Amino acid sequence: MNAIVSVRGLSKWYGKVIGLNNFNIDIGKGITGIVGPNGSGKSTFFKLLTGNIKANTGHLSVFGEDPWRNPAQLMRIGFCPDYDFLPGELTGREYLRFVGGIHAMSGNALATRADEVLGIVNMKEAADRRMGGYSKGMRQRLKIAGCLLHNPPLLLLDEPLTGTDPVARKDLIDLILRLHQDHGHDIIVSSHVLHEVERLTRNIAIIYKGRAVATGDLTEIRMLMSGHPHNIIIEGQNLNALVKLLIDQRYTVSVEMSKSREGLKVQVDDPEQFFDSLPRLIKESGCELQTVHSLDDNLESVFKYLVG
Amino acid sequence: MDTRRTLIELRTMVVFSARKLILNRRWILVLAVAVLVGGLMGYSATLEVDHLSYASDLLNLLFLTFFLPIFALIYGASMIRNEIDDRSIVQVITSPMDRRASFIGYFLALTIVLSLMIIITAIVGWSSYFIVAGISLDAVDLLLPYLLVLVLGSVAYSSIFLTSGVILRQPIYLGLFYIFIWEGFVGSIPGAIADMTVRHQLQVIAAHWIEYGDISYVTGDALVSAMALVVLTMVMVLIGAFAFREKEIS
Amino acid sequence: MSLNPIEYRPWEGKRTDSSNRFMVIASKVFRHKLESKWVLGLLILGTFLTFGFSIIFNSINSHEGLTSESMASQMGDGLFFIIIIILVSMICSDLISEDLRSNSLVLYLSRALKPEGYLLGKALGALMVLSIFTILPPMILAIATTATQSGDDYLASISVIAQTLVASAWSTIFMVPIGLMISSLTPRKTYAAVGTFMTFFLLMLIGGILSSFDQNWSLIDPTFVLSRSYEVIFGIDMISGINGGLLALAIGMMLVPPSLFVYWRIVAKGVGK
Repeated sequence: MNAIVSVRGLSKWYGKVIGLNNFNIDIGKGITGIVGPNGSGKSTFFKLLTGNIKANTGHLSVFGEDPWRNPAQLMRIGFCPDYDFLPGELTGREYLRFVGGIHAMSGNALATRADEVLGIVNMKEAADRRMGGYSKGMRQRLKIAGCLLHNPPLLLLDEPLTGTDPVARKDLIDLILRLHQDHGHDIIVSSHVLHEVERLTRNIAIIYKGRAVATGDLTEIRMLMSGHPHNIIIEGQNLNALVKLLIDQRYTVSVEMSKSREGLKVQVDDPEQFFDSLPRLIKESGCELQTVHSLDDNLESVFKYLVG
Repeated sequence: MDTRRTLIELRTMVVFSARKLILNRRWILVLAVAVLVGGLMGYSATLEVDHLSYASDLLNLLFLTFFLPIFALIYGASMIRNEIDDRSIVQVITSPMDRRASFIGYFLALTIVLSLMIIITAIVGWSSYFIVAGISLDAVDLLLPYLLVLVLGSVAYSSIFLTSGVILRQPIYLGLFYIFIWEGFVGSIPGAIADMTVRHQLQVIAAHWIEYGDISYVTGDALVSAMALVVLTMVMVLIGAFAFREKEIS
Repeated sequence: MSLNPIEYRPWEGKRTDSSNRFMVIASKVFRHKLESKWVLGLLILGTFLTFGFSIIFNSINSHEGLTSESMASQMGDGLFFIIIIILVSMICSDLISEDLRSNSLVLYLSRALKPEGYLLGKALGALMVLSIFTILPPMILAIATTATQSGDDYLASISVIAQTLVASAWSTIFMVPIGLMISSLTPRKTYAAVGTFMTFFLLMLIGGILSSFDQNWSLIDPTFVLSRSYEVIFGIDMISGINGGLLALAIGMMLVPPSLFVYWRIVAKGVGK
């Protein structure tokens, strides 16, 4: 993989507090989710990527270059931090004019691009109002507009969904997906809200206490966690025969039947084999299947097992 | 280095930083000072005194000694420090603009705004005085050197306090110490040690042109003083620019 | 199916009487300020610079007794006033401004604490810290001078000690309302500190300029007012040209409007204005 971001042995501490601890990660193209609880090092990682702070030890490269004291590289990065910094006395358009100006954009080119970006984030109507009157969702969208303005290949979005209402959150998730799918930006997005990251990407990195605990595709990570059997729910009619067949399978760890006898919770240590064999077992048992779903082929379960 | 890029970035920094300074509620303070100074100087003009000398002393005491360094402290020490504290500086430090150039942008904006504010209040005070005392060509001759010296002072003090705002977490206290203890106390000790203040250098320069009031008795080489201020400003701006570049901003 | 009852146990401790709650705030301010090395440093340095030599000098040298003139002169020293101004700036600057910044004013007033109690607590805390400089050293000087006097009119000296106590207490109270007023104007404590400093120096400047017209204009200068107050307290003849009524007015203006303003600010901020 041609890594956009490559990190080896990166450590950063603030006095006695460790931000990142021997952190290793490679991030490639696409949308990558950085997941971790509060204080795990996500924001520290982003500040290192943008050259706001420098690492105490280790090696970090973004597009093959060290970001510390390398402002030219920020032409290729658009950063949207988690905190609110928008000046309330400016309008959205004036703010974009400022951001464009410090990216050496000017004149008609800047005005045109600002319009374009306001359209992408759906903020054209509110662009000429003072930002002090914006809602949280509007502020988030304008922050994203600011980091899009100079059309960087890489976007860093630090907790972009924090503090937004469900409707705004959905709009932002759709926007982030569009930015990658329609506009070709590679995105690194951080969050501590697991199901939201799952809606954005399957490609994740889990950070805990300054370390990368797991990176890669969510399903592959789950598969690697053989110490934690998968929980699968099966619902239907006449499941007794299926239970007997499941018990005989080598991958089955346990089978639990519900009181109504219309539901099973099956623990398996090889979900791939389980799903491969399930159609045959259903046919053999003659049961009527209504639903099958995995309880923990999701980020929350992975997170819970890895981090506790 | 792409000169055109840098100029566009610099211009943007200067315009928006100056706008932020002017729109800040601290302009109420400047307005209050202008009204106060206008009233004070206007009332003082009703005294039976040598008006040119007395006006010179008032301009020296009120502006050169007090309001110029105080305004520079209030605006300069907090300009970058406030942006670091409220984290609005993120848009500047995550732009491709060299941080040293950003610092110069802040410095230019501060100097322009500070000069404007101090000039306006000085003109208000001078006008109030001489409207009562009677305007003359000599009165205009008195004002112009003071305005020039106030602009020079704005440049010098801006460099000191802006840099202190980058380096220190609480630059205001050091600034107060500098103005009231160093310039106020040390600056009044007879001898060479009094020369080591910005205020003294400004007074030496002013004394070169002004023939009225106590300031005309200040001795020294105006050219040397001007050079000293230029060197001080350059050194402080360099220190500030490099400190800003090296600063880790969380 | 029933819910398990929540294991709530009411607090059995003794609640501070509501009329004494301001003392909780005052003691917190006092402890917090004395943890600051800058405040402590200035208290020690100020004491040493203004009274240290006098205490030693008076104790060693022969003197008849403690006189009102000597104490008034000692306390009317410019450095004493400058240090009071610096201390008021440092002590008062964050008392209300920090609560404004953190929005904890609403929290305070949503408890069983009235604005008067809050303000009294803050003011009392500031006064307690300031009194370490304004009361202790002058009293030590007065007592040391009396204890080492060669004359036998101890009654006169004791009456001067009493006057010193009154003058010291007055010095403590006098500048705090202005400091609190400025602190209530801004949520930034550094601006409050600069503003307090600036206000006092500006008043001194204006008083000095306008005194060319009439000596009574000097009453705009708080340090001048304090010096004249000492003359009244110590029973010394006031300098000529000063109108007693205007002196009283100046004192009132420096105490009452700032105090009312702070109270109004706290009430207004407390209701969210």
